[in-house]
Amino acid sequence: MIGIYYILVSSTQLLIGMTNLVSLSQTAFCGIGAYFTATFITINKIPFIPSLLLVFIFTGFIAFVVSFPLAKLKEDYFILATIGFQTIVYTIFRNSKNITNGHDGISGIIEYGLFFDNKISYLALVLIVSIAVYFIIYKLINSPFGRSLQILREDELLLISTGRNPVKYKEQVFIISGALAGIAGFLLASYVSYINPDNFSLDESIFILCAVIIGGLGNARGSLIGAIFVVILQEAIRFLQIDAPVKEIIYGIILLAIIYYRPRGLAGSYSLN
Amino acid sequence: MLQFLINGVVDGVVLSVITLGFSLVYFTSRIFHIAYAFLFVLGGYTLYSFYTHLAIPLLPSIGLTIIVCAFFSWFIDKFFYQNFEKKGATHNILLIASLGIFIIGINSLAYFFGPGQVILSKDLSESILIAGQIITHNKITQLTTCMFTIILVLVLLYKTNIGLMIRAFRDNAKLMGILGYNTKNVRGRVFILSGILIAIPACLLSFDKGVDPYLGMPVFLNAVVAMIIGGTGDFKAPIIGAFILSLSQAIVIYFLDAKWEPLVTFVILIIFLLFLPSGIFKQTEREI
Repeated sequence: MIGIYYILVSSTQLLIGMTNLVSLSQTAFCGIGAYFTATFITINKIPFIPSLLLVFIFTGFIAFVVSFPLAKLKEDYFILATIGFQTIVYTIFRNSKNITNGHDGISGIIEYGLFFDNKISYLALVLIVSIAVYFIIYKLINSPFGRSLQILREDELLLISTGRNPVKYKEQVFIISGALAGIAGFLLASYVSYINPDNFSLDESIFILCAVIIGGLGNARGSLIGAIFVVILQEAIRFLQIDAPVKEIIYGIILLAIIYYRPRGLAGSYSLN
Repeated sequence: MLQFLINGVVDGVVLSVITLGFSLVYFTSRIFHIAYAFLFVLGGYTLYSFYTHLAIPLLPSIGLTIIVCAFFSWFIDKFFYQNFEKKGATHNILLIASLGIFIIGINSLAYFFGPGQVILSKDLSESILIAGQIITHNKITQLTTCMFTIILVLVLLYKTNIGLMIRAFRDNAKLMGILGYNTKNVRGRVFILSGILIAIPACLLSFDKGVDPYLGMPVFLNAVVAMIIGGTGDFKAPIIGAFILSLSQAIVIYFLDAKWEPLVTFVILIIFLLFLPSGIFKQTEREI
């Protein structure tokens, strides 16, 4: 789960950290990837590598379509639009009985056994994909494209003055971020074998945002710390048999403490600007 | 169809009060006050505690609930937002802080009262027939109380000194401070008024339908969408936006199904954000 959360947190961190666009729609893309896996890939028994590519392309395409209108928006309007998109997707998941089986969800999704023989192999699979995502993001951040994104984050006007269109950069990051979230959805669906709309609600997007802030922005390390932190905290709370509301209260307190005392997060390079 | 429109009008009036409360904070301090959703739920549970648990009569319970919500609203600004601003917090950080307060608040209520819905009034509301349409006494109370509240608030904002200061604070808080006005005082009053405005519909709606911890966010999002539709030009604009949204939702429920209402709400939002981001009543600003 750390691996899956790492990919999801990384995809969100890429968008928030590099473009200052706070998004609450990443679990919508994760859900799109998961439902695509459950409804299309499972039924057609597509092998692993083509499945991964298909999910990446499909979710990336949805992100491409959504990015056109959203990337032009700023600050509160962008956040609202992502909440809107998240709610629209969730409503479709919940109410489209024919496609997504509505509130009942989809069970019996292709298990890791189809690709690999056992849990250890699946763990290796998730690890490989996570490492691949780490290197993709690392290369992206350290490329000329990444340096332009850093300028965009620090001073959008400066980027415009160099003759570049910031909206285009935001669109590209949105697409990559959405596609990566789709990969997380693919892995999640394969691992848990059952998905329902509540796995991809606005609450989950808020939770992922908290993980990003706690881990820190601006580097791949922050995503990893954020993912490890939330999964370990989840497991610790489950082990101690603490009630769900108390768990959320703990998250909320940690979130407030982090942004007050350490706005850069546990391992970030800079704070949310 | 008429029945749905009547419900839409009543819901519109109630939503107007909620939207007005959020707009007061947003227009003046530019804080995306997500914790407002928590205040709505707090209002419902506070009324439940006073009226059901402590058996205090209804009107005094409502009065006490209004005081509690107003206090918490002021408290959130004084001890959270202002402290974050002193540390140089940016807009996004204040949003995250508000989100944190919302998470803590909602889950505290869920912990103490349980995650399920609580009902305040076990009796079925009586209803009357007007032009062949059924209207419950609760709906009539909501309509009249909220209309009265809106009129009172508009008189306060446009005909009193306090209102003048709030509007000045909205227009240019810095200049107001330079001219020697106590902007902290004005800001405190804005948050108190916002708390009062969320408490009233919270009491009315929870008395009618009950309350659960997770009711706040959908109500809050509706208020935000209504504000966007109305525009940021004036305090009257969100009221119009709330009516437009509620009537649109009533039409959706009539022609489609209630389960598609959130989808249509946010499609409307995205259309407005893209094509009319300033809303219907956009603010015209003088460039100096």
